Amino acid sequence: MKVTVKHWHAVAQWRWDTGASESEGNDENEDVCGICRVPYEGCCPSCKMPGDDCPLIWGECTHVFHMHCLLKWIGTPASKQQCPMDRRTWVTAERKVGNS
Amino acid sequence: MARLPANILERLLNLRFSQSTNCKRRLIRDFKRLSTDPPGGISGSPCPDNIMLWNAVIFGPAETPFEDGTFKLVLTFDESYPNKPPTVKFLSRMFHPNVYANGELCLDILQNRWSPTYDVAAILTSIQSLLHDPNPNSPANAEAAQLYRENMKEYVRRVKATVEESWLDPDDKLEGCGRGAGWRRGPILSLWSSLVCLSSYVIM
Repeated sequence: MKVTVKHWHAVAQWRWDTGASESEGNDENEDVCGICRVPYEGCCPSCKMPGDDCPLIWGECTHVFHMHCLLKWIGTPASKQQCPMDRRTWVTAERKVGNS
Repeated sequence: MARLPANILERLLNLRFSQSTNCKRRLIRDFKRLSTDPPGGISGSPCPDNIMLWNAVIFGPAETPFEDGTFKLVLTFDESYPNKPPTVKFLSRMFHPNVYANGELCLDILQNRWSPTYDVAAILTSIQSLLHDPNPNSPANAEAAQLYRENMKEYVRRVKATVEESWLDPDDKLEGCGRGAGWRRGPILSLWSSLVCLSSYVIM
């Protein structure tokens, strides 16, 4: 039998590399931004399109948020520049941003 | 006829709506979480016609003087939620060291220790545990704080009086949503109306 491919669709899937392995990420809350509660792979409520325009941000404390959500919080005086999860002073981790 | 390019139109719409829709979207998620995975002894739902205004009930925790009480609260959100906490107020009369006479609370997470990772379930759970563990060192009700420290028997008696009162809260005392409509219908019907309201927000 001879098969001729007439046309085909390529399908790809992407996810942010948050450091959590697939098996670890079972818990529903693991994969959502703690601020807006939208999955990391979605976008923050101010954006329309997920992807590079609405990236994630990593803190040195290892906590991860949508960058826009975190910056909005850090921009309020009430935040005292603290991570919303552990109240440590927010320091953006250099390693991940821009190369994942 | 000239048409506005779609992206400009979208941007205009965003300018007009984004801030308030962000907050509403988060509140819808809060409500989903609260209705699919409700922590024990609390319930809450947005008003059918205003998602920024919520009614909630906290059941007095067992083995505390508040046991069996059904304490009603109202939560008022503004557009900066979750970057700013809601205003939370008891509608039921309370006798508690950290609740002011007007029903407002003295609770750190609703003031200087707020975090945008908190949601309605977390707020109500914290208030529930405040009933359990009053903090007499930052009293909002000096008399309650003093009795809590020095005369537990009288404290319990005064609290129990508010427990019984909480069952009798007349509808028109509730200044939250649906004056007279919400609570009398009972929890199932009001949950139903909230679900209907949730679905209409989703469609919107």
